[in-house]
Amino acid sequence: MKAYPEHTYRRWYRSLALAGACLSLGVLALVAFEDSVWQEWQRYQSAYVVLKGDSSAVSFSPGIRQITIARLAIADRCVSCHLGVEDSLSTGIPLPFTTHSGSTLRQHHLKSFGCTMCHKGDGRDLRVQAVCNQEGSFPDSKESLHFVGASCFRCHGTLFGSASLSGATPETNLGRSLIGSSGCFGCHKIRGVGGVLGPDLSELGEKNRAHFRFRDVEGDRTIPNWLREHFQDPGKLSPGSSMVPYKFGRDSLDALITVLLGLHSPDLPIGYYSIEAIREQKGQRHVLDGRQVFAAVCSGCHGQGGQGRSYLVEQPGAPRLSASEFQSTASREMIAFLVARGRGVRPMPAWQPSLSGLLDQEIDAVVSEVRSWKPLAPTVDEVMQTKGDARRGGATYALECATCHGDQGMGGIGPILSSLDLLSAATDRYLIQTITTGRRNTAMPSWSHFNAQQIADLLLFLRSWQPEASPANHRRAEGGDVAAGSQTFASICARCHGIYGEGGIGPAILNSDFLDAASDAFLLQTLERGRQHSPMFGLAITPGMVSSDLVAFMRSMRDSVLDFIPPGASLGQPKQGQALYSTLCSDCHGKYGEGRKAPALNNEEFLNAATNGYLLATISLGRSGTPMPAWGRQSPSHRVLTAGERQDIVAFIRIWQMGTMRKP
Amino acid sequence: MSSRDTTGFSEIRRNLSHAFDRARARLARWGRGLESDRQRSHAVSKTFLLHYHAARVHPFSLVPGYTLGLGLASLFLFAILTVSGILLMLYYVPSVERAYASISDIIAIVPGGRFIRNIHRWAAHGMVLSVTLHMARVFFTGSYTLGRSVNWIIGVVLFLLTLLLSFTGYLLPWDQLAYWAVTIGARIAGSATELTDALGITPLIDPGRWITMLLLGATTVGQDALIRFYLLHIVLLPLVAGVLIGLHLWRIRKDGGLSRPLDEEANIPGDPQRGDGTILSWPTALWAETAVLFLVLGVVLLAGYLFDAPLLGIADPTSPENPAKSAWYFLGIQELVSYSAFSGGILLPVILVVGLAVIPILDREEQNFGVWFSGPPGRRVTLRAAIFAAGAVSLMVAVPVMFGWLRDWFPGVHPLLTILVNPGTLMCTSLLVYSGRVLARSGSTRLASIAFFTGGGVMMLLLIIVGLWFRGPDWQFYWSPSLWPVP
Repeated sequence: MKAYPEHTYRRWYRSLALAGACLSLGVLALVAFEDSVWQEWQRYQSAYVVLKGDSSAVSFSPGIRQITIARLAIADRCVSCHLGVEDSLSTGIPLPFTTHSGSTLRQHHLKSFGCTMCHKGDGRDLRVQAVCNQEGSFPDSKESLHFVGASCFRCHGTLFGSASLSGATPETNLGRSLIGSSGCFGCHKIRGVGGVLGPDLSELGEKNRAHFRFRDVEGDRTIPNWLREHFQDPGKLSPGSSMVPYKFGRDSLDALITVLLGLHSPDLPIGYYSIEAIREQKGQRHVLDGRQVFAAVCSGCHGQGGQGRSYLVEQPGAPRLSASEFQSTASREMIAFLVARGRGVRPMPAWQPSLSGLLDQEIDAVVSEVRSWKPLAPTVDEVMQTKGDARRGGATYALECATCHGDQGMGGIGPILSSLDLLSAATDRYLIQTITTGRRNTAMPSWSHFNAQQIADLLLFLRSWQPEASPANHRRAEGGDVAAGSQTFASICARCHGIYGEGGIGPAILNSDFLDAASDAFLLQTLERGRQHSPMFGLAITPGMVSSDLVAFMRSMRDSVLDFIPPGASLGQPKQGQALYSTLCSDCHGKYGEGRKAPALNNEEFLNAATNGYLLATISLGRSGTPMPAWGRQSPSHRVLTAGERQDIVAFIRIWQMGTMRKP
Repeated sequence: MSSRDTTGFSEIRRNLSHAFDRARARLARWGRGLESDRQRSHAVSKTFLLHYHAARVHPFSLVPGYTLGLGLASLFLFAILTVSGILLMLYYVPSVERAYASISDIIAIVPGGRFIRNIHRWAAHGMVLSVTLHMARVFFTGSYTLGRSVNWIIGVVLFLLTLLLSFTGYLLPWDQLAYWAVTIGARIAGSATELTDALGITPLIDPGRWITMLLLGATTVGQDALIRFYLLHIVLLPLVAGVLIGLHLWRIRKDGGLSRPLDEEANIPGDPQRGDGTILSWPTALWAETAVLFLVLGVVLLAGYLFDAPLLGIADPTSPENPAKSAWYFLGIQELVSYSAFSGGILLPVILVVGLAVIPILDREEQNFGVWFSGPPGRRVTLRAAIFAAGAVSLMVAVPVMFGWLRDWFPGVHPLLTILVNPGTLMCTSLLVYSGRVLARSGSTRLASIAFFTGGGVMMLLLIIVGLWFRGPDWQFYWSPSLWPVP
């Protein structure tokens, strides 16, 4: 290694040291200069003074200005550059010095709110680049003004209640109405109300970019855009999601997103929130009526009018609640049971108040709403005033009634109709009422979609089996002993009619449908004479005494309510049913009833809600608007199942029921 | 009293006026240039600020190519870090609620705050770099023999302290970068759990958890960790480092000054009156050191002015960075950890550090002291070891990337096997084998230790490069960040 004399080194090192010192001093001088007079905000402030003219130059004191709200750890320095924000005289000068738009600042004083509470971002940083291009904070600056309504919603917004609130903007109003009518609560819980299939959205507005997958987003990678594209194709942005796509217009979508982005946890001091918002936070929310509950909760899966989702198109589908067969065969009890309990392992959640956040009266209301889709039956008087035609009635009978009541009214699943005992005991009113209201716990649907003419025709056809009309009978059952009647019922009647009168070999009789239609005369005559061609025997007893006990007992049980839904009569053979099921039903309903192209049948909640009669009626009559055929009717695509075969299938389906669920 | 012709008060007056003259003369003495050797010697030995420096140094200390001023650069960077750190301490608040805001305020509001923070960050990175290069210089010039083995070990400890200082300081901004880098580092520290799990003894003895609790004060990085790291960073580690630096410098003087070749003639004539060939430090040697000081200072200040230290969003424990990378000097270890937590986090680093520390114990060859690479054979060994290490690292990184490793081929493989047989352990084993081969063939411990050091250094360097540029989300291999999948 070459070495030089000492003085050479001295010169080198002195020069190097001098160079380094000059560099250091130069940089220090530069920094001193920049940090004292050449900061970005200082240049803005000078520009402001120039714009405002000489008058304000005297009174303007340059320096960093900030709005501090200590208890919220807010230090917003935006006003260092946004100098005219509170000055009403600055409306004419350009950004960033111009006055704040609108009258928002009058109710939202800067010293209580600051800037970032509404406009988000990092208020501490003084550099324009840093503030406007925030990575990781929401909303992204390009759209932050477009969605500033989200901040209004954060404090003023309620999800349930009237739209004309303080702090409401057109976007938030539109967004609120959309949330309330698109069935969002069916899968998402928001502020304690809703289902659990999708994520809880109550704090959606607090999420930052890291919580979203932007991999498959086609447009800008911002949170609002993610939400837009998610509505249009949820499965693309959230793989494995069963959410249906929504087709909203551009403005509707942005309004909805505005409200969604305003969903925050209530982390601000209480004085910032509106009264309605505070009430809703504390659980005192506006109660929804049945139509609103259905629109907000159910319509996402079951459709706006209850038309359901086809199991062939979407997996899973949703049943068609507006189908006339469903409405006529499903009792209110069944609907209430399923709404409250849900369908277990299927996507239908349990809507009990403790799980869903809905109130008891809201659940009742939505059940009533679903029930209201059943057409109103014509009144008995209306029918009695209509002139019927027996031939037309016969055609109707062959199409609709023969599947259960037999071709000649000889019975099968339903009782024998051509029995003289029945026809002589039954008044027209009895027959009409039975047809229009159906019979609970049996397969007899409520044919309320028949009009008065059709029922009148049927009535005449039925009466055609009666050679001569019977005289009117107005016997009353007087003075019966309910306790004695109860004992007699339990020892004699229950073997056929079931211990709760829910039916077995004999029809279900201890329910309001039957007891309201049947007069005392009808009951007494049937009890005493029996029913020809059927196992019902007449009681060979002193007429008057014991039969009136039984009638008194039956009348006393009119309003009895069990805490479970009894399945009712099941006369089929499961083994035969299994063979039939695997041949005819398993293709759609699955080999084990798990549901493939059709609803699941092995579902515990469903089996506890559905009576055997419901199952029989559904099998017999099918479900219009869905691929479920009417197995009791002639059709080119399948053979007719006999009454016995249908009962066998029902008996087989019952095997999947493992226990009894109490009504919730 | 009456024999004197001045009163006590006039004496005071006279002493006072003479004091000013004396002070002026003393100052003038410095400026005028010292003439006699005695004056020049006293300038160093009798001034408090310079007394630590030797009054006489060997002329080779002036030749830049021997030491490259790296040790001095490290010392000056430490001083810059101390000064800038104290300035930052005026505003920084070590609480998880306020740390990030205090750093934002330093950047945004405090005059010169952005600048000071940048200086501190770049000086920290620079110090890690310069101590590493300094260690390499000392090693390659063989300057750990001839009684300098203690100083070498002190140096290794100082190296570790530098890394720890950087690591503890990394957490303080409490942003996403800091939080996740330190989370990774703490997981690496607690990786003994992988071994105890593989042996099934974790319920009985869990040193991994013990180390994690010691380091973080909790099982995750939080307020306790922040306070601990702050304490370590501003008090404990600087104190220990300061004491050891003092010891390190003192030992240099006791060991005969800066290292230089023993038998090479220098053209700089020593002092003819002194037989030891030394020259006075004042002024040339001190000018050399001043040059290093101002160059380092200038570069650091310029870097601080031009480049901003990164600051991501505030730490959010619910959203991990992906990939979560520790600071660059730990990325080599993180890469090893990606093969096996215990072997990469504890086993191999311990082996490497112990290996470093025992070099002067195992190699006591004193010829070619102070000569770069100990001569031509050493140069050859260095080059070959570097090529070997590069090849081994490339192979051992490429195989898992292309073909997977044990758990992919044999799903039921026992974890202990993965701890013992993974690319990291294979690389180190091959390094040891290679060094052993050099030892056997050349018979020289010096050449073997050159092979080990060079191979290990190149290995860590390449692993750092892989971890820095070629690892993306989920620690998958990507040729460039533009190919990373969008999260």
